[in-house]
Amino acid sequence: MGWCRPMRILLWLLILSIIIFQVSLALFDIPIFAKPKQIKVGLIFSKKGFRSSKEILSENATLLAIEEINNAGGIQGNRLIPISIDPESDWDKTLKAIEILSNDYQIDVIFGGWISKDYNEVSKILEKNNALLFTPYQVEGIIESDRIIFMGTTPNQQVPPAINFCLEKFGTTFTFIGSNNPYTKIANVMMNDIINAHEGKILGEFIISDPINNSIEKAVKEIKKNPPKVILNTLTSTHTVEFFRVLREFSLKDVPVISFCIGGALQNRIENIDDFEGSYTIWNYFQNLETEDNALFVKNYIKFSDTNIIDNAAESAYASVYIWKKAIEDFGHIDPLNVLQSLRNITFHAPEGLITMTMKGNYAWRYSRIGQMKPKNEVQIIWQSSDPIRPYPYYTIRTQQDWNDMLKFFYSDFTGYNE
Amino acid sequence: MNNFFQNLLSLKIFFKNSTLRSRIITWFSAISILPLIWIAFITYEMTKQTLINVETGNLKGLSSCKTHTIELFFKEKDKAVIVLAQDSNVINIMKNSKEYFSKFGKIIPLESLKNNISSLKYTGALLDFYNFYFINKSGEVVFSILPSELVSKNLLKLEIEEGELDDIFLQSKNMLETSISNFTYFNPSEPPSSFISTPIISDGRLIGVLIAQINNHEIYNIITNYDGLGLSGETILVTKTGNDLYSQTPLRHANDKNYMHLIPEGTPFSNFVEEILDGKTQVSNVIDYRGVESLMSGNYLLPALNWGIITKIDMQELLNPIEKLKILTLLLALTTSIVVIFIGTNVANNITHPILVLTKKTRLMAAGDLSQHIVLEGDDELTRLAESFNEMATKLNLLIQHLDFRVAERTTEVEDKNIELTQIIQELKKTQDRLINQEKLASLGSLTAGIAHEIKNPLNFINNFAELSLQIDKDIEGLLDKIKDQLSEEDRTTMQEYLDVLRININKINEHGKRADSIVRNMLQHSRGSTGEIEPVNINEIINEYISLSYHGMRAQDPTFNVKIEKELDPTIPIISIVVPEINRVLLNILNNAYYSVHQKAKQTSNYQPIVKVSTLYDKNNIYIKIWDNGLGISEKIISKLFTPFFTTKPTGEGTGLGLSLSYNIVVYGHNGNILVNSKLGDYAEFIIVLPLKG
Repeated sequence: MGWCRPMRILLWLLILSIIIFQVSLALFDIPIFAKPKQIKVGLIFSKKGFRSSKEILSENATLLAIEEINNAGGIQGNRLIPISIDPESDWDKTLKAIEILSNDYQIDVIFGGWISKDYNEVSKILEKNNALLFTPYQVEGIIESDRIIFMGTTPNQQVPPAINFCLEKFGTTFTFIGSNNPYTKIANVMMNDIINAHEGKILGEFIISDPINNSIEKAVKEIKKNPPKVILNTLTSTHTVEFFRVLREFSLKDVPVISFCIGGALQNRIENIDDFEGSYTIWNYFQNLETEDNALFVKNYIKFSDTNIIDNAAESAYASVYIWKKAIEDFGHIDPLNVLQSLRNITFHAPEGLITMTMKGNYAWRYSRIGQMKPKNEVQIIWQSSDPIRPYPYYTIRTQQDWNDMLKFFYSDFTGYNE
Repeated sequence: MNNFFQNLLSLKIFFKNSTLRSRIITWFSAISILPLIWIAFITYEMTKQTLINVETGNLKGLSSCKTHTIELFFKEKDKAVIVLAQDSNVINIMKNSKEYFSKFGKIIPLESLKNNISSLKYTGALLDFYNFYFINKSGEVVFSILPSELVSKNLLKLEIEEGELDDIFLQSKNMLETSISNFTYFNPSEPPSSFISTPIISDGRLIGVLIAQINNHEIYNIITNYDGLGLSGETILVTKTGNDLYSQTPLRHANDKNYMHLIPEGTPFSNFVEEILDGKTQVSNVIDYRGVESLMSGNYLLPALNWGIITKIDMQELLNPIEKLKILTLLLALTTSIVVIFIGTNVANNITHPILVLTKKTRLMAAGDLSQHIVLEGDDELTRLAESFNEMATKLNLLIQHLDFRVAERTTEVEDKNIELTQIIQELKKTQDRLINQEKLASLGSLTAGIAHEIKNPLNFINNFAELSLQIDKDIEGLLDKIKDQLSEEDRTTMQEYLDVLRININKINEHGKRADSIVRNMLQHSRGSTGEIEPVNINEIINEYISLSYHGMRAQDPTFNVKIEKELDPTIPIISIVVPEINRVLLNILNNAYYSVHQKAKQTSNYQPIVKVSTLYDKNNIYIKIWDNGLGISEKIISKLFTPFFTTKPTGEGTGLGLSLSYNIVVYGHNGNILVNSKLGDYAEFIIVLPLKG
């Protein structure tokens, strides 16, 4: 051939590189046919208002998960782009944010979105715009939606284990105290049923409404008159702080309290944490859980965010993103309806342990853990369920219809959570 | 690695040394077969991947579907027992049996609950339950619908763990939830059955726990339904009891009636199962319990039971369709390679044949045959090459012919020049000889002049004194006459005799002195340059005058001398400017020689007519005077010495040898002319005096 030497070398190099290109095309799944897309994900977390201290933690965890996924190459090679809207702890703004993200931005999935009032309203918006919402927060249960994935704790993952724990550890007399909201009311019904079934006694049931004035003091006075073996506390954060202060004031520290609604964020806000010392709380997750997964998660979280507190919702938020990712990867579709299908029986090794989605895919089997508050804001885990607990949106002790009617009734005169 | 490079090297050498033909075939094969193999390989791999992906999806779907069905099955059982737990018969049985048991420590007689039992039996059969156990809150089995070994035993204190009955009991009692146990062999069911427990709540109070033994036939039906799993695929439910891994559904390839199989630890299969039960969804290529490579998809189900479901299919079955593809591709490659080699050979021939022809023709051409012509069909590059070759051959042929002509032309030219050159060289040689002669003559001339000058003075003395002596001799004779009388006769006679002798001697001296003087004078004249005046004359007149003069001179010396003189003088001859006395001398010299020669010949030969011919002629440059005689002639040897001074053929005393030398000097140096000599020995001699018209 009449080519000069450099030309021939160039030719061979060309042939070689083409062969390498072809081999790599065959060996590695080079995404030349599927252009790398950017998957937009919606984030609704309040950075202002009474929920901000709690939701900032969840947002941090969500962003951490997104960054980890992006650093590991995204989902099927597609990078995640978080689009965040701050609803400022306002219910209407939350609804608007869901509408904007799912409709204007055409986003398929939204993380966060605390639901204060009506699940059905949220569900309708999501259905209309074909989107999914992963909410990491505690839920009353009693709802099944095709569009909302409840990653938070259901009442049956908290109440029965807690009562069983109390019956074994403290005795059979109970007093309930809770804020005036549907969650408290549902929990009270459930607690009532269970305690009754176990032939325990309910000595009192206090519902605290805003403004609190001295209603808490009144309640504590009543409790002091007839002290139970254990107090079941479903008060919201602010009320709880006040409640513990009053308990201390009335020297009722000997009666154990199990709190259902206080998160890590709350602990951070308390001026005198000692008030809480010795009390119990039941959650799926505690920051000082001693597992390898958790140690890594806590380390990464603290490195990533400017806070060093992780609460139950933050861990759920973190797991949400990964479960969503796994659902897409297992069946290869990003479309919300397909994701919902794929979510069935999906498992994920979250920091708390194995999380399994239910057969319908909208609730999660989760572990329950009871922790006791120790000095210096630490929690000692003193009990943990042997297996993940199945989430029952409708606790089987009553029929679904009963629960639905009840919830409807509780919501009828409810103006929304303001804390 | 070394080997590899050696192979590469040998390949390179092959390609360098191989013929164009084999290279074309090789490249052809490579170019066609390599992509084929490459595409086949990629197609195979891609198809394999696609098959696996499709099958994975299939397995996942089947797995998901079966999971769903199993969950639904349990959910139905769940609902059934919850409903049953609120059934009045159940509550009745529970209450009564509990009361009876606590009072008497034994099972209530069947008769007392006859109605409740028959009703429950009917419902149970309808809902596919084998048996119902009634347990009080402390875990004691206070009643069962069918007779059972469990009756009146405390579930919390069982020695053998029977399907985790204690666990499900506690779950129902404490959490007020239904709970399902793992599979276990338990009568009256032949395959392993499971239990479901539910709290019995009456008037809001927990009064006991109902445990129902489930007929699991449906689950086995679901699991052993191999639809969509081909000939080798199957579904397996796996679980972990303690540290042991079990498969708890019939295995398709196990060939036994067992439902439960222990999965040996440390095998790939057990590792896979372990991962599943750890909650990881897995799809991979695993060696199964038979040791056969299978594609398995597994996922976790029912966290409370810690179950895993695996759907799998043998890789061999899965890849069967593409095995066919493999063979087909191989066959295709083989047949294609044959075709390609055939075509390649053909193409190579098409290319190399004309080249070979071309090579042959070129060689022939190189050997000198320029009339080569190639005939190729078609209109491709090679045909065009052949055409240009033909064109080249034709042009070359023409060129060479032209060249031949030019060479011949040049050769003739060169030959002509050669002849010319030879002539020039001969002339040069002649000129050279002449020059040498002239030089010799010149040097001899000056030598002669020197000698003559030196001899002249003593000769004058000799001559003068000889004449003087002769005078004295005369004086002595006169004197003797006077005194003759005084002398005796005898003395006088003697004296006279002496005087006579002396006179003869003196005369001889005088005579020979004069001759010597004449020789010397000639010699001096020879050496002396032209002294005379140049004047225009008619050369014919001079010649006429000198012919008669010299003739008479000869006659005076020898009266026997006779010669016939023929004159052919051109009367139109032009006037020429010469030094007359010198030319006279030349003419005299040569004529004398001619006369002498014919005279000598006449003495030797009889019947001989001596002839001397004198003729004049001219051309535009010169006048030619020819003096021809038919005398003795001159030999060739002598001709070259003719003009050398003192050379003579005459006997001693008759010639000085200076005549011709002098003539030569006069003509050549004095008049820029020439003297040519032609002669044949014994026949004739001819002298030609050439005198230029413009001196």
